[in-house]
Order: sequence, then C-alpha cells, then structure tokens
Amino acid sequence: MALAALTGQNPSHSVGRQLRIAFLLIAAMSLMASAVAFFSFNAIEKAQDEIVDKALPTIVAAQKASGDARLLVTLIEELVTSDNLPLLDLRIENIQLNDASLNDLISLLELDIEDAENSTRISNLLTDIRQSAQTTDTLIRDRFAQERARDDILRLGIATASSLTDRLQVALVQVSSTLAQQTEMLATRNENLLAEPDQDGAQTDAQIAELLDLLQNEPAIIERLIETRFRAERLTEILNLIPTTVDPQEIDRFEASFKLNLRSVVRLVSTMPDQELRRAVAADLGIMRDMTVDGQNIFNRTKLLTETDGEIDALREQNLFLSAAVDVAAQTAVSASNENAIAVTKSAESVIHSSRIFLVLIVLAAFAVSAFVILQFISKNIIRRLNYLTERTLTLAAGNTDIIIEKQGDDELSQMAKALEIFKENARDLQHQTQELQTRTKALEQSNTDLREAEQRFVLAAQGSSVGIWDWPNLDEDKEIWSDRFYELLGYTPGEIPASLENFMAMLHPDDHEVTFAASTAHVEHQKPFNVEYRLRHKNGDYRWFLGTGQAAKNEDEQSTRMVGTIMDIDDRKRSDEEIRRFAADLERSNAELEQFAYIASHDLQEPLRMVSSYCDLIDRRYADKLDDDGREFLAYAVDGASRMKLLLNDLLQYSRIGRSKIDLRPVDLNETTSQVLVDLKTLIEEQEGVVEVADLPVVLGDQGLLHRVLLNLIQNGLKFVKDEPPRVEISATVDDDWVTVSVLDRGVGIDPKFSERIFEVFQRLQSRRDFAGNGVGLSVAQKIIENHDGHIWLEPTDGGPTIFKFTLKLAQESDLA
Amino acid sequence: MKPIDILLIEDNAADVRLTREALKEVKLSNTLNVVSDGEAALDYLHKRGDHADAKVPDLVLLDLNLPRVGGHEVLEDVKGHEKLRRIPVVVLTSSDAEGDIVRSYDNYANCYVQKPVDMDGFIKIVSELEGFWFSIVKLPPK
Repeated sequence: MALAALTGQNPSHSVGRQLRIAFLLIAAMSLMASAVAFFSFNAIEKAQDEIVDKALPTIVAAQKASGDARLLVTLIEELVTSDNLPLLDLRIENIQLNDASLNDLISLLELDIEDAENSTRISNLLTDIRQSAQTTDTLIRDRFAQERARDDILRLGIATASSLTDRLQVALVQVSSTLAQQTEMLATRNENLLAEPDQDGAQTDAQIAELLDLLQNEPAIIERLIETRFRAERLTEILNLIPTTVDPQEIDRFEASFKLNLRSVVRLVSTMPDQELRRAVAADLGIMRDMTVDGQNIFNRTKLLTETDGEIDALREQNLFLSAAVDVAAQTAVSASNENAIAVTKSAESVIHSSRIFLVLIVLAAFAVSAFVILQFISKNIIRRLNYLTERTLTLAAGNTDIIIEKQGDDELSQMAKALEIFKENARDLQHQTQELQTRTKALEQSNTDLREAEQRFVLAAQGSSVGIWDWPNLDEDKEIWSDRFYELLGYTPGEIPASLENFMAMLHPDDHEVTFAASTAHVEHQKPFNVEYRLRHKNGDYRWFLGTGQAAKNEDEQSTRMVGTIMDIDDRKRSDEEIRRFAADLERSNAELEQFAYIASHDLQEPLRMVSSYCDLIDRRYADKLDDDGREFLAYAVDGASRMKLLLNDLLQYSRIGRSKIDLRPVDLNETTSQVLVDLKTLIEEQEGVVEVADLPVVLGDQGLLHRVLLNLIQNGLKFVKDEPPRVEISATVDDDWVTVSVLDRGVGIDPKFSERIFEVFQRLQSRRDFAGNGVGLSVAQKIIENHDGHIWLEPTDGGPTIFKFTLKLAQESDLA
Repeated sequence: MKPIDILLIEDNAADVRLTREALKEVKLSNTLNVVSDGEAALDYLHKRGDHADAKVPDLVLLDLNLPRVGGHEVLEDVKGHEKLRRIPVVVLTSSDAEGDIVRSYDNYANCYVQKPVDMDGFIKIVSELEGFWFSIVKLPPK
C-alpha cells in the first residue's frame, strides 16, 4: 500500500520540479543579463553613432563652412582684380559654386546645431554677399565696356594725331625742298637738316627762318608748320598719357591742354597756304575735336571710368566686411558644433558609463541569484539529503535495520526516504521472517509428528466420543461424511442412509430450519460461532434435542470451502432445563403468594392480637388486685406474649411489604441518609455511649426510605451487639465503575462465619433475647431491600476481626442527577 | 354539664366494649350510641326506621371495616349531606394503610386515628379525643 502510494502519487514539490525551477531561474537570469547587455551595447552603439553620425559631420561641416567662408572672402577680393572677362566669369562661377556649397553647409549646420540666430545671420550675410558680388560683377562688366569704348576712341585719337604729325612732316619736307630749290646756298644745310631733323630742329628752324628771311615768303610757312607739328606731337603725347592716370584733375588739365593745342593747330593750319594740306588736316582735326565733345569726350569717359573704379572699390570694401562677418559666423558655428560635439560625446559617455554599471550589476545579480539557487535548491535540498539517504542506505545495506530515516516534504527524495523506510521495514520483516521460518520449520517437524498423533487421537476420540461428527468437505457438493456415532445418535447403523445435507435437512425439525440456517449463514459470512440447538428426528420417529456446532474452513480468498461439525445429544439436559424453568416460575409465583399471604396474615392477625392484648391490659388494670400471685404472673406472660407477637407481626408486615411496592429509583445522597439515620438513633447512641464514624459517601440510585431502613438496621446492629466497651461503628464506601460498595464495620460481639448465610434468614437470631432485643428481621429486610435494588449484601469474612457488612448499589450518574 | 352524645360505628363487639371501657376511664360524662354496620349508621344519622327518634350526635367515631355499607361510603354520605357534614367524624381504625388515610381525608374526615394495640394507648387516645373535641374545639350548634 505504501508502495502504491509512492508510485501513484505525484508530489507537488518534487526535486525534478525544483531543479527545473532552479535551471529556469538561472536561464532566465542569464537571458535577462544578455538582454540587458544587448540593450547596453545598443545604447553604447547608439551613443557612438550619435557622435559619428551627428557630432563629427557637424564639426566637419562647420570647419568646411569656415573654410568656404574664407575662400569666399578671397574670391570676392580677387573679383575686383579681374582684368579680363574670362577671368571674371571664372571667378564669378567660383563664387557661385562656393556660395551654393556654403549655403548647403549652413542648412546642414542649421539642422544640427540648432543655433538659429547664427544660421540666420550667415544666411543674411550670404544673401548680401550674393547681391554685392552681382553688383560688383555688373560694375566690372560696365567698366570693361566703358574702358573698351574709351580706348577705341583713344586709339582713333592717337592714330589721327600721328597721321597729323606725319602729314605736317611731309608738308614741312615739301616746303623745305622748295626752299632748297630756291636757294642753292641752302643745299648743304638741307643735308644736315635731313640727317638730324629732330635733334637739330632748332638749328634747322633757324636755318629755315634764315632761308625764309632770305626768301621772304617761304621762311614763315616753315615756321608755322614746325609749330603745328609740335602741337600735334603734344596732342599725341596727351592722349598717350590719359590711361596712365586716375586723377580727375589731371585729366581736366590734360583736357585743357589738349583743347588748347588743338585750337592752336586749327589756327595754324588755317593759315597754311597748301589747300590740300588744309583739307586733310581739317578731317583729322575734326575727329580730334569730336573727342572733346559730348559722349565722345575722351576725358569725361576716363573720369567716368575712375568713378566706376571708386564704386568697385567701395563694393570691395563692403564685400570684405561681409566676408569677415561670414568668417566670424562660420567660426561661431564651428565652436557651436564643437560644443555640440562635446555635449553629445559627454552624453554618450554617460550613457556608456551607466550602461556599463548596469551591466555589471545585472551580471552580479545573475551570479548571486544563480549562486543562491544552486545553494538553496541543489546543495540544501538535494545534495545534503542525497548524502543523508546514501549514508542511510549504506547503513541499511550493512544489515543495520534499527535506523531512523527522517523525511522532509513530499518530493522524490522524500519518496526515496519513504521507499528506504519500506526497504528497512522489509529488511526487518525479512530478518524476522527468516528467524520465524527456522522456528516454523522446527515447529512444522514437530507438528507433523503431532499431526500423526492427533489424527490417531481423533480417530480414537471419534470412535469413543459421545458426539457425532459430520464433515462436509466440499460445500459445492451435497456429500458429507458422518461418524459412526452420528448415525448411532439418530438410531441408525453406520452408513444406513447416505450422509448428505438433504438427509440432514429431512431429519431437522421444520420449526428449527430457520434458526439453523440463520446461524450457519452468520457463521460463514460474519464469523459468528456456529452453535445451535435443534431437534433431529430419531429413526423411531421421535424428535430429540441436539447441540449442533460447526466450523467453516476458508481458502486463501476467504471463501468457505468446507465445514466440519458435531452434534451432541442434549435432549435430557434440554428437558431438565425446561423443568427448571417451570420450577423457577412456580417458585416465583409461590414466593409472590407467600408475600401476599404474609401481608394479609400479619395485617389480619393484628386485629385479634389487639383484642388479646387490650383485654389482658384491662384485666390487669381492673382485676390485678383480685388475682393471686400466680394469676398475675400468668397474666404477665400473656401480656408479654401478645406484645412480642405484635412486634413479630409488625416486622413480618414490613418484610412482606418490601417486595410489594415497586421501587422508585432516584439519586440518594448516602451522606444525607446516614445523617438522618443517626438522628433516629440518637437515643440509642447516647445510651450506649457509642461513636459512629461516617466517611464521605457517594450518591447512589435507590429509594431513600428503603436505604434509610438498611442503614438503620445495620448501624443499629453495630450499636446493639456490643461487648463491654462502648460501640464504635465505621461507615465507608468505595466506587468501582458503576457500582458503590458500602461497608458498615463494628467491633462488637462478632458473627461466626458459619452463620454468614443464616443471619439473613427471617426471624433467625444468633443471640438470646435475654442479652439482645430484636426479632431477627433486620438483616432479612436489609437483604431484601438491597436485592430489590439489584445489589448484593454479605458478611465480609474477617477471620475473627471486626464485623463488616458490605452491600452494593448503583452509582448515580450525571444524567440521573439532572 | 350536659352529657355528650357520641355515635360509635363499629361492628366488632370487643372493640365497642373497649371503647366503652375507655370512655369510662375519662372524666367527661358522655352517652355512647353504637351501630354495628354502615346501613344502620346512615339510618341513625338520617333518623330513619328504627332510629327515627335518634339524637344528632356531637361526635362520630367511625370504623372503616364495616359490613354491608363500608366506612368510606358512610363518610362520603355524611360529608355530602347539607347538615350532617357539620358533625365531626373521627376515623378510628386498625388500618394504617396509606390508601385508607388519603381516602378518608379526601372525603373530609375530621381526623384519622389508628387504634393502638394496647389498652393504655387506647385509653390515652380516647381521653385525648374527648379533651380535644369537647374542651378545646368549638362545635357548631345542633
């Protein structure tokens, strides 16, 4: 059963379960640690990404923006130094590119740094720069156009002036040659003049003037030609000087000088005799005059150009200022991005730091929990108990079965402990069984011998026995074996009729079928003893009483398979039993009649007795003096007899009355009753100078009045039958289960044990009337009362010691007292 | 002093005599009338038949064990009668049975006395009865 409990039960707190829980806990902790590590690394990576993806690009962008800003400054500075259009275009393009790039960078910074003020400032600056650059560009282009236009005019002017000079030279040569022709003397001098016209002009002029003078007409013309040529050369000189100056006043001076020389030339030319020359020179002079008026005024144009240059310079200044501002803003962005980067890096560092601490804590916690789990579950619950079980098992294996196996909980180890306990019990049983087997083997050998003897004894006994034996070997078959005696008891010779249940039932008295069947069923099914009295029909037809016994034998399955029994002739006993019953009934009836008779007799006898007694008294009263001594003595005997008769009748009446009324059983406190008795006996006690000692007495069930009588009679006896010394009566009681034994002891005259029965008979006296008064009814009454209470009264044998009367009564129970 | 009339209802002549003797011993003068059965007692009390001129007694001494009409019936009749019930009735009997005592008082007996066995006791009781009923107690007018 224990094993079934072991295998059948699924313990709620199994070791396997504990292990599973432990591993699950460790796995869960590891998983948690891994998860935390993952999240920590994730956080670290994120922080690093933050630096790499955001902070660093911002720094780079800020620095690049700063660089671009510086480049922009340079480009804008260079812009004004552009001296041709392609270069200007290139530079403008560079500025635009740089501007775009810078713009993108600013947008980027704007997103990352979140310094809106700086960004807006930069944006505004860039817009200004863009506009300024455009303006500069336009201005420079205008200047180029103006310069080209002026230079065109200038080139035309210079060419015209050169041509004028040339023409004047030619005219001069022609005049000179005419002069030579005219003056032979001047021939040699012509050569000098031709060889060195320029260096020796004054000498030539002087020779020419000399010749003119000489010639009269001719020398003035040459003089004017020379002056004109000089003036023309001066014009050329001024024109060539114009691009070299930017000073407007100098230009004004040039203009005044130019106009003066031009007017001189015009006046000189007008006096030229050569008409052809005049016409040619007039055309040149017209061109040159045009250069001094209105839109063609070369000097105005040059002044305008200078003004433009001034504007360009102003723009350049402005650009430089803007560039410097951009540079400052870019530097601000750089430092902001640097600060941002530092903040991001710091925040990332803090994240990494806290992640690291958290990770370490989690790993420590996981380690601690795992260690705790291992210590708690595996070490405490399993290993220690396994060691314990191992040690116990080894002890058990060594054959020591007197071990104690402690169990804890309800898990597999506890089951193992239980199993071990069972093994232990089994081992112990096995040891016992082995011993027992040895004992039994010996006993078996002995019993084999005994059996043979018993078999022999049985056969002999069956043959000699007065009981008949029957054997019903197989309850499924109606076939029995009856002993010879069985047949003989029923008046048959052995084997005369077949031994079968059918034949037995046929012999069984019909009125006894039921009781016999019930008894055998009770025996087979409930193991009640099979012991029945029934009547069997003798061969001669008479029914005789038999005591039938039987015993069923059972197989391993507790099934009755066989029955063996006996029949014993109890007919004689049965008949005498009936006779006894009849006698008892008769006796009871006769006792009742006797009591009735005693009552009526004693009652009816009172009347005549009263007459006898009364009239004896009357005679004594009235006629005593008339009687002689004999007469008076006779009368005295008659009076005495009548009074004794009266006492006897009274006692008899009392005695007979006890059995007549039904006893009403109520709780009676014997202490109280005894006290009342002692009050009744007060006079006697005083007379006898006696002592009555009463122990604590229990409460019994009985009739108070009757028990009072019993105690009164017994105590009275104790006080009455005294020797010389004053009487001493002791009353005590013992309680045994439901019964109380009251004992009344005195040390008076004592009672011979041979009278211990007789003293309870009515009117039996042991002492002479002379010594002690009484009729010998007291103890009879006491006995009758006690027996009517279903109790028992007797004289305790004391072998010459004190006289002890004892009687039993029912103890009052709690339920009775209620 | 006027003699007292006592009616004794008793069938036993010995007892009658004893009572008469006992009354002699006491000092009061009295007249004892005796009837020996219940029927006669009722005739006497109701002044019927032979007892037509009977006197109304001052006290009735009644034995219970009477032939024909028993003592209890006599008591019942007397105590059920409008006038007779005033007469004190003393039940004087040898019975000490509880049933008799209870029944007597149930029928309004004035008292119940058991006859003593000895003469001295008897005389004493009769004397006491006389003393009580005729010296101490005030009786109703006739």
